Amino acid sequence: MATESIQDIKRRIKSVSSTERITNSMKLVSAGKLRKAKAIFEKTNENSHFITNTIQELFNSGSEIPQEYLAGNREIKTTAYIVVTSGRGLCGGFNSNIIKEAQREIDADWEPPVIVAVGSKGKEYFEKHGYEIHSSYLAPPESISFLETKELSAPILEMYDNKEIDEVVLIYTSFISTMEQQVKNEVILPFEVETDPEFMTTNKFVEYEPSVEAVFNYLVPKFVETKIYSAVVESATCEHAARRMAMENATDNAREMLDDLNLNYNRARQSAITDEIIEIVAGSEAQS
Amino acid sequence: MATNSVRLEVITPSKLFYRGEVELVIVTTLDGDEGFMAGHVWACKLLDVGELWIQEKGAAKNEWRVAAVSRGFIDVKDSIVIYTDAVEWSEDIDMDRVLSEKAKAEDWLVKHPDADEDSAEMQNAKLILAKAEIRKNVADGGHRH
Repeated sequence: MATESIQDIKRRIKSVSSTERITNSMKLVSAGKLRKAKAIFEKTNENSHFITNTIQELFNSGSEIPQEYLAGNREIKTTAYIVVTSGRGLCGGFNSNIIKEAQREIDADWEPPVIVAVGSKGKEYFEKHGYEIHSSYLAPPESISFLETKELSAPILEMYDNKEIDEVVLIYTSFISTMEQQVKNEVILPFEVETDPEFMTTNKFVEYEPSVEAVFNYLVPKFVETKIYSAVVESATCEHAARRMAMENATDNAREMLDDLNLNYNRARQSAITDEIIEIVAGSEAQS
Repeated sequence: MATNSVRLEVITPSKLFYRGEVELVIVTTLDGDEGFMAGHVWACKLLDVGELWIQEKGAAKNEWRVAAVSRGFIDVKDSIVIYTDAVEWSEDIDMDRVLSEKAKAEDWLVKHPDADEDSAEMQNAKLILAKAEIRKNVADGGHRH
């Protein structure tokens, strides 16, 4: 009896310790990827702020701006959701948080949504639940290039221009710190114009070439592309952070289990030895 | 002689390409080449596929840093910001890649002689050709040499 349970415990120790080794190395890999992703993310973030600011200045500069991109210009019926998830699992609640938020937003709409999935997890979920996926990007998000986001954003802009969609919402995970990430949904089209009083005071003459309208028409798609690009980059950063956390927890749990198992193993071994000694003593007593 | 300098930043979606004090920066706008120096009137202009010439602060009159730019815009205020999708220093241009891209685009044009002038593919092929041309020029030192 005792020897069998020793065998069992030994087997479990072996499997748990190999799991621990895997999770631990995944944690290290994620930590490395996180560092790299964070560097790109910080740069991208800066640049996307720059584009946003320029657009805002344009709004405040004159009245010749095409109205179709402004909020309140037309009734919002169909919404396009760009759902940014990851392509791989084992990152805690990262994907399910995003999907839950997206589902909540979609349930609040009357019209069927247009879904653009970045990352296979989101695509799989919405496909399973009978939604139509308009387009998707499935390669690992950390290696996305700006040109590839263009391929995603071009059809969205076209649909917006053709009035097939009236709103574009980006749902992604926003990076707060390596310990904390938050699901964010952001309306990227139409623009909510904030007439910032501070901008108005710097009423300097600005030369626009070829024209305000041309500059604006260049900036709008740029803005959407940059937003999507930076969301994907940010989400990749979060994914690594989330995975690092998940793997750290898994490693900690595995170590705890190993401690318990080792204790049990030693107890079982000890009781087996005690049994044997009792048997020997009993045997020798019987002989004498 | 103390010439005024202006702060220049060249940014792309994924990185800060250049940051520094410059005396003169020349870019290709949609209407042709244009130079900007400190104290320029505020402007916001779209850039074509073209060359970017930077004369850094304290550099000699004929000392330039040259880069190839593929579209974007220049934002001139108290400092100058150039935003572009892609930019490369002349010394970083990979000529083999440029030539292979160019060959691909030319190949496409030969195969589709009756393609619509305004179609996306046609525009794209032309853009690739223009980019290749500029990069080739820039790699050779730019048209001002």
